[in-house]
Amino acid sequence: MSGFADNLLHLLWTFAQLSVLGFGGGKGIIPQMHYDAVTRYQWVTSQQFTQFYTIGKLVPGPTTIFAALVGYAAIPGRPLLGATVATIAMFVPSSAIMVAFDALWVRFQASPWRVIIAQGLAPAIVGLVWSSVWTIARGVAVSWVAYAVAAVVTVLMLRTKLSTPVLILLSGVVGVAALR
Amino acid sequence: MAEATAAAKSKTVSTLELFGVFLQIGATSFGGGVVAYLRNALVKNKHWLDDTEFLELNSLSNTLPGLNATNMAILAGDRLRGTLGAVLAMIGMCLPALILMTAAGIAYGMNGNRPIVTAALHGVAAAATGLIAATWFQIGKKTVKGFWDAFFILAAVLGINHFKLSVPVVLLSVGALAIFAYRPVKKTDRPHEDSHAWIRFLQ
Repeated sequence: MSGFADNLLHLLWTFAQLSVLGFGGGKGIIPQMHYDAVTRYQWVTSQQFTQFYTIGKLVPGPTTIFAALVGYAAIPGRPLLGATVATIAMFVPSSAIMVAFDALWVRFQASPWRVIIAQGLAPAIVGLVWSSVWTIARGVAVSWVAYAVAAVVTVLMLRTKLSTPVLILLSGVVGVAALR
Repeated sequence: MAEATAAAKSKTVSTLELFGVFLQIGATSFGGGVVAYLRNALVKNKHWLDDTEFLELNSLSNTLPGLNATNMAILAGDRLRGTLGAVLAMIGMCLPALILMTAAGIAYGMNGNRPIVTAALHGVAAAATGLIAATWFQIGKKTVKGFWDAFFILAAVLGINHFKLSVPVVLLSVGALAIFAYRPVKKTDRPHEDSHAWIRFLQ
């Protein structure tokens, strides 16, 4: 029973930290979430992590909601509780910070530091997003079909107006046809 | 914490209506691009914000690359009905996704081991890699304006992937160094111009 309570607390604390870290957007925290959920606590495998992320892309609303699936898998005895705890921990701290940040942002409207801080954080975040690409790629099957799908989706996303769910579903069809 | 202009408006926006609008966006905003959904609902249909106010929210999201839709929604909720509005916006945006994710979790638990499901998930996992790579290109293009931007991006990538540093360490160290590099300097000599001089010196 204490193992259960410990696990739930780990879940709450891990996602609350990720939430604070992910302030300003969720994409940069993927490497850290992968470390916590896959390497440190072993709630999910690397492959599941990538699959859950994709399901998060498929449903409407924010992608970081895939924290719910990690929570679902982390507490095998009470998966719904795990999903709820992970979601609350993921969204409440960052939202509170955002509201506070907005007030500061408006107050320091004229300060040059406003631009400089944003300008300084931007390359760090872009670097973290690139690391997220590698993190997500680690859960992809080792096959040239999978690499080709990833490359084609990148180009289609940048060059056409095809929507994300359409691209994901088409890739699922390619998977069924070619990766069985 | 809402501003005075929004406070004046708060009489006209009922909390129930506010929650309904965000719930609807949360349930229908497939595949990112939530900013467009927000603009449609808040500016075009409901006239709760005008385009200038919406652009102000958007400029915040442009200076913090990768700002997610929930944060945009929370800011809008905060400006319309204060903290209660922010809370309702957050719940509205997340609730449909949470329900769908839980359903997905149950379905995955029952079918995750079937070969056809595994094959489909292999395909969509590859797609997810492509999607996040495309996002990286998009926000990277907006960010890289000179040598130092590229330098700090590389530093962050090496920190995580090569030196196995944690995300907070990278964010604080690279962020602090970059903020130092971009600190206000006297007159107009921006760091970007320094970098060109430096490159010329090397040549």
